[in-house]
Amino acid sequence: MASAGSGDEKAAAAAMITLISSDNEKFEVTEATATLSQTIRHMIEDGCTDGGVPLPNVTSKILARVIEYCKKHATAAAGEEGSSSSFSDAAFLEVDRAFLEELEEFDDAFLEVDRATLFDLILAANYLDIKGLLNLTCQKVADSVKGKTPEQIREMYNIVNDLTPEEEAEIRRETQWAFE
Amino acid sequence: MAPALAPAPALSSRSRLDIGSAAVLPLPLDVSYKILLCLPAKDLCHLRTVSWAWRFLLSDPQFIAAHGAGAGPGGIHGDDVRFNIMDLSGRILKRLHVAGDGTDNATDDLIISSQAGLVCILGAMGKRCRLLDPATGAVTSLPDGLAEEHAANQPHMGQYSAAVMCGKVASTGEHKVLRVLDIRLLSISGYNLEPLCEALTLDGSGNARWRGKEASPDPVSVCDVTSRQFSGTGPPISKGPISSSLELGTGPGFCRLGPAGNARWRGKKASPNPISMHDVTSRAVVDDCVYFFLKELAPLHIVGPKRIASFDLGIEEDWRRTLEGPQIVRFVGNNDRRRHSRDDVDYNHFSLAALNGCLAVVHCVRSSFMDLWFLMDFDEGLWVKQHSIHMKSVG
Repeated sequence: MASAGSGDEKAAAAAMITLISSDNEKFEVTEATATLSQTIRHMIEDGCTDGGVPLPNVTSKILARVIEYCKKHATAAAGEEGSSSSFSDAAFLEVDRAFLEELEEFDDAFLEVDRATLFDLILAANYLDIKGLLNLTCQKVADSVKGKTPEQIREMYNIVNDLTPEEEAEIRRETQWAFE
Repeated sequence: MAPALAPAPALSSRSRLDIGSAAVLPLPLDVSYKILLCLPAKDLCHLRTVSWAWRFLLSDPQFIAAHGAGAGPGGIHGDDVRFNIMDLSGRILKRLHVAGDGTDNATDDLIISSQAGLVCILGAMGKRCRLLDPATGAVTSLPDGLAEEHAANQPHMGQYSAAVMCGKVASTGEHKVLRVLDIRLLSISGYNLEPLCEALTLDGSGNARWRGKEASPDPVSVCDVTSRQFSGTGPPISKGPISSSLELGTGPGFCRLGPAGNARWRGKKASPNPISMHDVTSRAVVDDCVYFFLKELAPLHIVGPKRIASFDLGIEEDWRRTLEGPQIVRFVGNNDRRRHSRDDVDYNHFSLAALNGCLAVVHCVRSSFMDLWFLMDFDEGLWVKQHSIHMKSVG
């Protein structure tokens, strides 16, 4: 019963999916929101979402955040599609830019979380295959790694340096140009 | 019924990376991989000293290849093109990213480097062309479609395959682009199909456009390729391929490469002889002159020296007279019966190159030798073999 064409938008918006977190909390979301997850999209296409979708790897705390993200981005996607015909080009660009700015602000605020939550969001995005969220959260981690020294990285992530001094010297020689 | 995880990259089979303190990050390996792909190469080199696992992952050729291809979450689109500028030891000096133009997939893009200091990115059989200035990363898309002069009486651009060459006119400093369009089908009803030549000038002002010029007054028999084949020495018997060139004009505040928004192709007289189109090693640009091997259709054993068509982008007049490539004479046979022979020279082994500001014909027989013939005098047709490199087969 997956709706494919844009003519079914209303029907798609009306269809609700129940997501069940690892601690058994139930979340009702629209199909448009749920299908930002490729994993759930495939389940809907296979018709196995009756009775709810159990997500044993995702806690209710994290699932609530993930749904918040999906709702926002599903709305943005629908807004973009709907508005193109009803505005002149200039007005459309204006609206479009406002949308994107709002979305960026949302994303920035969304990422204001501690590292443990960020990692949980990454795991959930990876498990549910939500590309936008995974890219967003991975980029956040990458930004926090960027420009750090190896020593700082070890401290941040409790990594033990298991390289011998000789090995370390050898690596430095291999990549001398980067240290210049 | 539980949904399956997306397949992890093949690397995850290397178990040492996944266990305990040896993990790169406290995340699944495929995610760590994805995160690290976002980082610039310089950071990644520093971070090889974090731990054994970091070193292992960051030195992995598969990771390096993925990083080079820009597979990070920032993501590149299917038609994006990434460049690594490397020195001769293979060290990457600079990375450039050219966003796709959304019209095509990059897999059929062809990169031709260093023509007049610009990188030419050709897509879709040369019909779509972008120029990249490797110094600044600026990209200019050249106009699609035929020159106005040609558009009126020629069919759609899709009927042609294009060879695009970029040169810099020394006297004016202009970048110009020459485009030779060859027909792909011999006939389409209602059209008198003929090869085309168009030129375009690029400037920083965004006024480049292909300009069409009058075609040669001599009619060309397009359907009978053999009649064009041997026209090299006689009077032109045919209306040649039409060509076009693009000007990147100069102006105040000239930047090397500006937007080509209004650039247009200008129609040019086509070369009186068919030009070899499909092989980038059969063309070269030296200063403001563009050289092409002619298309040789005769059976290999009767093909003589390569013949070379050339067009001066500075004056943009007729094609220059056909130049003969070096005549190769080799000694064959054993010492008792040594003789001169032209029979064993396979002219398919020849290519054109611009070397040290000279046109060179490269005669290369793989795993054996490479001879470099330099054009010393165009008028005299004088070629000198300046280098001969003997090669040993490597495995």
